Amino acid sequence: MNRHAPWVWLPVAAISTSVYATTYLSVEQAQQTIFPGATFTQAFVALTDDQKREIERRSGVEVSNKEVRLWKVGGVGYFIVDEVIGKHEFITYAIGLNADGSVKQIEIMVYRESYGYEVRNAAWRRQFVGKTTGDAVSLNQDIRNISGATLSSRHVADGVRRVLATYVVALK
Amino acid sequence: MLSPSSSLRRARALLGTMVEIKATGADQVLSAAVDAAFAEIERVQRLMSFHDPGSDVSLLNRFAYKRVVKVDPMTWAVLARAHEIAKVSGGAFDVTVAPQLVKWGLLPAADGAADLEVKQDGYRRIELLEDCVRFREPAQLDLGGIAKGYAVDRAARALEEHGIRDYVINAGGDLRVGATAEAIHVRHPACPQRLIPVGMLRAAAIATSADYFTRKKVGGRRVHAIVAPSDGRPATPHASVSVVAAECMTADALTKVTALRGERAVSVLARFDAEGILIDYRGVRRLNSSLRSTASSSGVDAERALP
Repeated sequence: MNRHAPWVWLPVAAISTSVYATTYLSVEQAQQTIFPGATFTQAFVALTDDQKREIERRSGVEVSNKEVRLWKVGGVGYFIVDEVIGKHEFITYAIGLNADGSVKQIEIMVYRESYGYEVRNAAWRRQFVGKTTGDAVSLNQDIRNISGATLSSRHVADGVRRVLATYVVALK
Repeated sequence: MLSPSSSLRRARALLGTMVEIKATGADQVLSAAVDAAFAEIERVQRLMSFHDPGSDVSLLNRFAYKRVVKVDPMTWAVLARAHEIAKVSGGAFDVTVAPQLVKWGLLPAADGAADLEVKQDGYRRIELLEDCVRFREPAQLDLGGIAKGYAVDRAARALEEHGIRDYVINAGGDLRVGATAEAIHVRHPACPQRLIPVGMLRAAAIATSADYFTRKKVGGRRVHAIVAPSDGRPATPHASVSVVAAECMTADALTKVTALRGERAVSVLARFDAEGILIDYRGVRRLNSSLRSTASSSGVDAERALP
C-alpha cells in the first residue's frame, strides 16, 4: 500500500446523522443543462382523476401528486420536474423530453436521505414541499463522501415511467 | 495566468444506484469533462448490465457456451481483471455466482440461470481468447461485483483526459478521489444512518460491501448479495467491508474476497497493494494498512461510534 500512500492523516469527527441533503441543480440550472439556450414557458397542468388512474395503469406506479411541474421548451420539447420517495430517499429530478415524447436527458436536482420515522412522517415530508432549491434543507451538507450503497435509481426509474405515461395521457 | 476555475457537482441514476461526480477545474472544460465522465459510465452500463438483453454480458450468457463471442475491449479488460483476482484469491472472487443470486431474487431470472451450478472455481468455465470469450461449460456471468468500480475508473480517466485533477466520483459507495484529499465515511453496518469516518483519501479508490440494503429472508434464512463460490452460502451478515486500492475496479472486487475471508484476505490484499477495513460488532479493523501512527486515533474514534 505504501506505493500509493492514499491516506492523509487528519483528525475527523465521528458523525451520527439521520438527514442528509445535497442540491445539485436549481430549476434554472437543470433547464440550461438539458436544453442549453432554450426558452421555457411554464404550463400549469393538473391531472383529472381519470388521467391519474390511466397513468397508474400504464406505468404501474402510483401518482401521488396530480400537479405536473411542466415547462414547454420553445418548440423542441418539454421540461418536467418530478419527485420520487424511496424507503430512505427523497429525490427531485428533472426530465427533458424531445418533441416526440422520447427522453432527452435526466438530471438529479436534489437528493435527500433519512432513516426511520422521518420518511413516513407527513409533517416532516411537508417541510420540503413547495421549497425552491434556494431554500432547500441542507443539513450536514459537508458530509458527502459516503462509501456505502443506496438504492435510489430504481425509484427514479419508476418516476420516469410515470412521467412518460403522463406525457402520453395528459400532454401529447 | 491561470484560467478561472470552479466546481461542479452532478448526479445521475446509473448502474442501479445514484452516481455523483464532483469536479473542480477550468471553467471552459469542466462541464464537458463531467458529461464525458457520465458518458463513459453509461457505456460501461450498456456493455456490462446483467439486465440489459443487448449487453455483452447478456450475449455471453446466451451464446458463449455454443460459440466464441466477440466482446468490447472494455468488457474484456474487466473479465481479465476478474480472472486475475479470482486466481489470486483461490476463487473467493467469482463472476459465475449469479445463479445463486437469481435463486434468492437478488437478480432477475434469465433463461435457465437458476438451474446452473455455483461451484468452487466456477470462473474457470470462462475462457478468454484474443478479444473474444467462450464458456467451456454452461455458466451465468454477472459482472455486478466489479463493473461498477470499472465504470468509476473510466469516468476518472475521462476527467483526467480533460485536465481535471480534483474530483470525487461516487457510484453508490464505489468511490474514487483525485489529487486533493477528501474525508471518507462508511455507513455503520447495523445502523446505516450513522457514518463512521475512515480517514482522508487522496489519489485512490475505496469500495464498500455491506448487506444493509440487499439483505432479505429466503426460506427463513438471511441472504444477501455476497455468496461463497465454494458452497453458495452468504457471507457473514451485519458486517461492512471496505477496500482501498489504486483502482476502483480492484477495490470493488476485493471487497467480496474480504467479506468472505475476513482477516485471512490480507495476503490477497497485499498482492494488489490494497487495504481492507472491516467493521462489525467487534469494531473497526484494518488489514494491510498503510496508516501507521494513526490507528490509535482515527481507529479509536471510529470504534467509539459503534454501540
